[in-house]
Amino acid sequence: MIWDKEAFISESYPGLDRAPEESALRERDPETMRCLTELAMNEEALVHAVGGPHLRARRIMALGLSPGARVRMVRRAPLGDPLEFDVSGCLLMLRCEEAAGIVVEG
Amino acid sequence: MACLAEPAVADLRFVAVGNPNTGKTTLVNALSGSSLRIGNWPGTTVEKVETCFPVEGRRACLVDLPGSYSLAASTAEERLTRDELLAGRPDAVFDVVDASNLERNLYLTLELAELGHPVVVALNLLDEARARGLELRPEILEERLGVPVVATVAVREQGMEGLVKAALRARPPTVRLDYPEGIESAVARLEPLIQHPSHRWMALAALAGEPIALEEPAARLVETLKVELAARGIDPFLQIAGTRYQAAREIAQSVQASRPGAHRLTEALDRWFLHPWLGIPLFLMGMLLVFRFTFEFSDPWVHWLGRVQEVLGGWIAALPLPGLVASFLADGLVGGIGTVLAFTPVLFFLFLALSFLEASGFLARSAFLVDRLMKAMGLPGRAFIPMILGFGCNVPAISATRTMESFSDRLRVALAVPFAACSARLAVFTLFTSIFFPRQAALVVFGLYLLGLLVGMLTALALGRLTPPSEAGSAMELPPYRIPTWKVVWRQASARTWIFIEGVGGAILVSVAAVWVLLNLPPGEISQSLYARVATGLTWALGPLEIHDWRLAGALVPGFVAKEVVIGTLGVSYLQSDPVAPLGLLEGMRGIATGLGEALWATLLAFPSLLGVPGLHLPPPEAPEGLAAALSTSISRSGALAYLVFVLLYTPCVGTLMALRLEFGRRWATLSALYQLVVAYALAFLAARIPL
Ligand SMILES: Nc1nc2c(ncn2[C@@H]2O[C@H](COP(=O)(O)OP(=O)(O)O)[C@@H](O)[C@H]2O)c(=O)[nH]1
Repeated sequence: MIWDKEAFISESYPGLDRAPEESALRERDPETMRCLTELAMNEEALVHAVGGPHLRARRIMALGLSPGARVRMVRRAPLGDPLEFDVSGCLLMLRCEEAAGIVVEG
Repeated sequence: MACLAEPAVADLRFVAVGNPNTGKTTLVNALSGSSLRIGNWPGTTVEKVETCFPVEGRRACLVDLPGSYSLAASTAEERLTRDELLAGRPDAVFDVVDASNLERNLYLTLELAELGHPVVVALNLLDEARARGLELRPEILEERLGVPVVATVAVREQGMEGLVKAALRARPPTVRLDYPEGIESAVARLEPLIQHPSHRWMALAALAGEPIALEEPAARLVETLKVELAARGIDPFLQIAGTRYQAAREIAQSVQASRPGAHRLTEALDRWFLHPWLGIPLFLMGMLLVFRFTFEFSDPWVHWLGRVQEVLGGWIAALPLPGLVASFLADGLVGGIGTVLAFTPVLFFLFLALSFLEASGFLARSAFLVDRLMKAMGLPGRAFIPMILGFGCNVPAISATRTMESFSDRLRVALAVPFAACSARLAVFTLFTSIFFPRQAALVVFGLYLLGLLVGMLTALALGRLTPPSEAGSAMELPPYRIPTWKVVWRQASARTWIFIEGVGGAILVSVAAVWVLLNLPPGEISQSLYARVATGLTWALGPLEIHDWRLAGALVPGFVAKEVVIGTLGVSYLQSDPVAPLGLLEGMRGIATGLGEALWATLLAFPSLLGVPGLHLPPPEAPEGLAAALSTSISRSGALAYLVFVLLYTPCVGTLMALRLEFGRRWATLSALYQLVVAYALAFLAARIPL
């Protein structure tokens, strides 16, 4: 081993104070863009931006919901809250508050 | 589990990496033959699977790294994978890729390419991709990435030989992403300052804001570069991630000759299991099934182990040994081992159920269904199953918290679980309610269950207020329904059970031995023993709870070993009954053998009862004759209620405590025990004030 990982990875996240949702919302054009939660059942759209706290946005993007991906609303959970989406053949569950930070177009 | 020596220097070192649910575990199992070592990563409860096998005359050791969507880690497991990949230089990285989900899977592959390790791609789940009507051209993927690509179907162990052979040809991917100009020029300035083989990935990660601690000139440069980029309106994180996604999407499209259709089975099953009205009832029925499977299938085996223990104890008592030695061997040693072993059947069946639920895709569905309920307590949907299991036995419930990702969520659930009235406590409840509240027995027991639930929920809620919510959110994948292989489920369950026994056995043995010492020294009447002295001391503390009899107070001490023991100890101290009746050698052997047959038979018989309607009646109290009469005069009704509340809430048992220590460390286990004592004392104090 040539590398001491302890020395190179710190668990704090310096410089991650950026709030992506601001830029996402600034670019939002009310004509064509909506929140992910506003999709009707089975409606498809294109992801435009992913907002929310940095770590959360990063995780959502890692799951495949990244700008440019096609997303389809599949269903709402029986108790109303988490929503299920189909992202190019892969099923994801997102809480409403998380989906509300995602801007889609089309 | 076969134990393997540490890999020698000349051995080949392989690691397996991939998105969760790509069949990585199955693939590693398929490669392993019979030699598989399952343990924990040092200092964590993340499972570590390792296997060694021969490759063309050399020995190769393959380590399975936790499933990750990206090297930009957002969970503890992903962090572990990233750290391992940065720390070592494996001879090959097995990148396990879901063939019908290339777009997302290739994102990780592209990150691996930037690390610069030799890679071989296992294009897994190919059967599923074909069934979904997806045509793939692996040769194009091979060409685009510049690494060997091998088609595999891990469940049928197809493509394994080819994969291992290809691993010898693994080389660093030739694919190279071109980032926007601003990013590229920043990377070009930063890269030469980073003395790490994976300098390109590290430079990009540092610019994107990853917690990469660099050495001095580089660290300062990162800050300057970030400011410069920000001034030009460039968000490095979005541009870097965006470029990778675009490239992954583009490569995926060039490899796929058609778009994947829906996963038929998943569509059909989800229509029922996630149905707006039927979803929840079906889920509750499923939970009942899991609960029964765990406890009804294990019950005959727990009984059989008890029988073996009795027979062994009887034999030892019949040996020509001094009374005290024989008693220690029978009750202290054999009893202690028996207590440890009594956990194994329950844990094993639970782990079987959990492994199945996890690998089949049901666990993720359960989280989807009850997420809203759990959110009210600030917990993720996955917290539901451990909480329910707690009502059977707290020990497996604490182990089941492993299915949750965030440490603070797991801890909160694990601290709430011990308040769930497990079945062992029920034995004490039924005995006392039959004596003191014969008419309202069911009501009192129900009330106690409810009280336990309430205290547990409040605990989780209060802790949620104290700890920040998990920042990564609760987004997750609902993987397609798949049939797990029996081999993987069985191996996982037995390995997890073994890890528990190894980690916990010693402490349980010690506590059983300590209780034996209390009860038996100095030799003679129990009223002269250390136990009586400790118990008399306890009555002073328990006086305010209206518990004045030393025998009642004392029974709480061995109750720490296991709640079932409370009644046995009461029997001994009130009636001086000696429960062990020695059997002859042959008779004992026959007893063990017939017991084994009965246990097998009872397990088979448990199948139909899985589907029956749950009975709501209380089991009859099991206690030595005469105990009821003796107890009825030794405490008031208010005192009895306080006693029950105390038994419900105080430290459940050494097994639970050790399970907590195994998962969360000594500090949290101690804290949890103290917390339970305080809560139990306070609420029992209030209960004693209820006029009855
Ligand atoms: N049809 C099919 N199923 C597979 C294949 N590989 C794995 N599975 C199943 O996929 C599920 C998830 O596999 P597992 O190994 O637990 O995935 P992991 O999360 O990546 O470790 C299990 O039910 C496996 O039996 C495959 O090649 N074809």
